[in-house]
Amino acid sequence: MISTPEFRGAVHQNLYLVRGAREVHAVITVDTQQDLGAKEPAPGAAELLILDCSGSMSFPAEKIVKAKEAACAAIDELRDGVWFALIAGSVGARMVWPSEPQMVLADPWTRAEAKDALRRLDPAGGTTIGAWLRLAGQLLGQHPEAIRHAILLTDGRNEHESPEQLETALRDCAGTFSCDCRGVGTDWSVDELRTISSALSGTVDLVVEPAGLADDFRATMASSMGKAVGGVGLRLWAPVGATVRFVKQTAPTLVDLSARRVGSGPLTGDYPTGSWGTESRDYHLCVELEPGGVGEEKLACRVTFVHTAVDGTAQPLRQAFIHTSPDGSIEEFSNARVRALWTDDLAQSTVINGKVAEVTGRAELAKAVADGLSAHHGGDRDLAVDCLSRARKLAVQGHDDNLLSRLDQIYDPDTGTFRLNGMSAQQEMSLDLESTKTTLLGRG
Amino acid sequence: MLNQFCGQCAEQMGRRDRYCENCGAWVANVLRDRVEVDVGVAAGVTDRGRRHHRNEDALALRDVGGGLNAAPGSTADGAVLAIVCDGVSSSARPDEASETAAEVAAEALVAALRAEGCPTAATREAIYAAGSAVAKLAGSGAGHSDCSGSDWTGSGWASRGAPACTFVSAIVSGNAVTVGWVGDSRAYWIPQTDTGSAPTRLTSDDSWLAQVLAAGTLSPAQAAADHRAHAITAWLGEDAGLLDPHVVTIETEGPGVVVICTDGLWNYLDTVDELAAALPAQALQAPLDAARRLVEIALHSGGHDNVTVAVLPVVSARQPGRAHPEGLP
Repeated sequence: MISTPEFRGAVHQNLYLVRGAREVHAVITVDTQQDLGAKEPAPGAAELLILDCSGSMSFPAEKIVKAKEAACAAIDELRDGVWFALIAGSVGARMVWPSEPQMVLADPWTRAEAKDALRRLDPAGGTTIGAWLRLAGQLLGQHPEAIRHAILLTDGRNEHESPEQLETALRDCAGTFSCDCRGVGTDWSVDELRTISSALSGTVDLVVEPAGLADDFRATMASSMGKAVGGVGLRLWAPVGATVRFVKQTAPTLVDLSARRVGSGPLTGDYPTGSWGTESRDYHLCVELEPGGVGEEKLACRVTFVHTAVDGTAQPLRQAFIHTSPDGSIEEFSNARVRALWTDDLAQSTVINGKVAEVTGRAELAKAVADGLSAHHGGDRDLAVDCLSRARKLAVQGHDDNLLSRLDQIYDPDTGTFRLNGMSAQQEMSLDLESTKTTLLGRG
Repeated sequence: MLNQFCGQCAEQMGRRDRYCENCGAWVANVLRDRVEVDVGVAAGVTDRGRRHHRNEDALALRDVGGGLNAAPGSTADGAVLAIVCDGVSSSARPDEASETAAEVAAEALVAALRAEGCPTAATREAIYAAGSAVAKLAGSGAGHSDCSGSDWTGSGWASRGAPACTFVSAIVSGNAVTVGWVGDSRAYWIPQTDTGSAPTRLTSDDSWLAQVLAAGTLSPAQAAADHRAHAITAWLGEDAGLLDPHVVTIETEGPGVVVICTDGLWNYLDTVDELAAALPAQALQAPLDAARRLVEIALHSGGHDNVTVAVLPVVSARQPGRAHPEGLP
């Protein structure tokens, strides 16, 4: 049994701004805690598996075999009473189980039947991910009360429909279900799957060895089944005259939410964050304000987390946020408050909050990797090496060991440069993926 | 309680926290820059002044109305009360201290007057209640105001004293006036000029200057020049020591007004005659205009400190034959 989690957060910022300054930066760290003693019934769950069944999944043959095994492992993770269905994607999408376009309740028999149906699957045809997502949206849309989730497995690029078709599908599906994307092999596009997973509040990863798929699917499914509340939005109020520069999730992965704002009041907007279980996430906010006079204080924004019900009404979740004053005293409020206080004292205004610095550094690091890889593809070797060297330096400073190990696979310590030509597709993709992940360290 | 509209953008304030729902301005700061309270039978004005970055004075007024317990010496005719507090600027969160003291005392006075009707006892109780509420602020951690002052420094608040403020209250019931005070905020009785009575200061400051002058160890000029002249010797707050409130009741003859104020006013109108001369002739009929006028004088004279003034008219003569048991001179 799981209950609606409590959101507990902390606001990290330097509240002092130099006279005339407009930009306020803050990091809001959020941890959810479930009251395990509570005996509320778990919310319904609806799980969908989307398997790429395009022709390329047969080369090598092991790919489809392992994909089927992984899907079986995911099915075995399904709790009794969870709505589920399997769809196969090629050009268009079709039902694998059940045969009708609907979802069925998991039990020992339906799980067995679904696995049987899965084994009879033969790959053929192309890749149209937008169409797959539309069918997914249609099926999951039948269970609006449930926490809705899909796992998408593909080995290729979205080659057989237009980018606009995918974009439209993403726009239609955004906020209705979350989707974790997995790429197998090295013929898929990190950017493409990242766009899909971030639009659908999910994760993206590379499964290097088909053999590793089953474990990954099992873990992904288990994590999804651990979600206790879906349809969670980050609600942000900013005063008249303020501009919200950005709202980014910075951990566990970097996701820019800025463009996903849905207005929810004259001065408030909601940013979808998907489903939450017991987990930790960080958000970096930047708000531009009309500067106040020296000694004046303004509220730059208030943040709360809301749950949007089936009927579209939003309710605040249980939440509390810690605010630390410059004198070290601590206050707790039911919303996160980002403040601005203008001063002439440079000793106050020039201090960068440690958490904000960390998050800014992490964003710089991700950009250095992205710029480096993009320069590499553009044939600008010098720029690529410059950017990756900078990334490596930042990774060392930020103790980002995961990213550092990816960089070191192509780093030549003797010459202090990077072996870009010797970089395998897999090395490049895992570097790219790792650059937008954040290890949460020292959360307190 | 206070103004319902944001002083910065004029939109109606929300009640969720201390920031304007529209423009984000810090409500407590903005609202208290200038607050005018008019309960009809009395009025008061508090103003940030020209030099301070925020208003650390606080003001509360209540019209208790009639129909109270009609015991002898009671406030059976109804009462009007006002409280003025001045946050001690060397303490932490002086604005919260003064606001807390004024509001807690106002509620305590209303409750005590309704229950017992004795203004002297009510005043004592109210001062104790306010004192203990301000003392409790010391343990409650920082409020917003803690970091809002431009005078905050790296080592700042930790070295400051516990939240503290002065206190002066006035209760007018019929022709009886009860004042209570701690610190250097003052109360005056200014009779209407045609009555022939002399204006009187009803309070004596709890200040270093007043102590030295009383002891006669320094000449008034020497004492006034000392840097300790303005230091107060009693206040409300955790570190105030044993609270010993002064309470005085007078029975007035003929109409006039009671003025209570912080040193932001009396710094410019030190003697009772100066104050009486500055008071508009229509103060009895228009207490809000009178309070505004006195505040304006302080602002025009420099407005070096927050300034707060409450004006309470005394119009009715007490019914003959009713004695006033306590605190008569």
